[in-house]
Amino acid sequence: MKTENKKAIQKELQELGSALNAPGKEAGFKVPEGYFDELPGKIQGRLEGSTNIVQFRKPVASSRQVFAWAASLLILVALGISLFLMRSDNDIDYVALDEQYIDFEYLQAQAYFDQDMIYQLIMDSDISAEEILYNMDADILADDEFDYDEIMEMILEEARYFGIESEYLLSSLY
Amino acid sequence: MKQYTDDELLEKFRAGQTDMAFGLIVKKYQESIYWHIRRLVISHEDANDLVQDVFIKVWEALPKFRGDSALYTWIYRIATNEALSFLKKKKRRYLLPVGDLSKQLEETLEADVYYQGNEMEKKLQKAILALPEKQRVIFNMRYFHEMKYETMSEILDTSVGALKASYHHAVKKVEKSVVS
Repeated sequence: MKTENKKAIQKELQELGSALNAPGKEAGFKVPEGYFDELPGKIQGRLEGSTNIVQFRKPVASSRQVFAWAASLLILVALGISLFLMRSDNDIDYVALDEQYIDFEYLQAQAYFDQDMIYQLIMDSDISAEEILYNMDADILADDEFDYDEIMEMILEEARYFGIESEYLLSSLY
Repeated sequence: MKQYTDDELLEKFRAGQTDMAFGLIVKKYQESIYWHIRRLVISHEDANDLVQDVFIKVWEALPKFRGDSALYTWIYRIATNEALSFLKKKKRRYLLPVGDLSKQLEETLEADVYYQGNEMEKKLQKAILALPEKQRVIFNMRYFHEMKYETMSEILDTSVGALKASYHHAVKKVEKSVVS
């Protein structure tokens, strides 16, 4: 299976016109000699040294929160007619923005709102990047968990991939 | 030694042979999980701590594992989360502005006695470190771990289309940086 994947990856690189070759596994990284022989023993040792036999973690989100999040996503998907990424520069549609405000407020209330979710929103709904960022709460942008530059980078990458000029996106953001 | 399937291992675990089944799971996945983490955190010492943390979490959560996803993708997901939250903590601990984490990881790469890449390998690694974090995860999983997009999609909970787009961008960026 690995060999098949390697071939597929090499083929993909060729299709991308890339000069990169399918790599060797380690590519310069080493481990101390006998490391993988000793690792199971180290893990076992840590488990035996632990006073907690088995402690289950409290779920990170309550079922209510998960349900709320799922519901908000459903609303967003229902709003979608065409993907933002398929739009051209000239047909940005601000219809139903009021409804979107409601969704944004709803989303912002979620404890686990993060950049992955924003990214997913852009991928899965027709809400454009600029609409999303424009409507985001300043507190969220100021949260140190939120890597604004990273999500911007991804948004711009996606936009470029679909032929939308990054200058256009940036001008509508700032 | 017989290579057990994930289903067989889970069956053993549920049948009460917990230590044996867990030991076999560690042996089966330790290398791939270690390398996945190592490429993200770069330092062997950090990867060593994190891979142990991952398997301890696996041990703790295994009794509740329902098998909605494959064992392999579940362990990979735990490992990815551990590595990313480690990097996030590192960024916060050193109050690093965006972009500086990759510089710090480059320094770690240079200083790690367990990294002995040649010039070309080092150049490639530095280009990968300059990628945005999530794109770096995607690039590593595809390029080094030769993972199928469908599997990556399950692990990262991201659509195949988004993964392909991210990977293709990453390849272009890495190549540009390596060639220049």
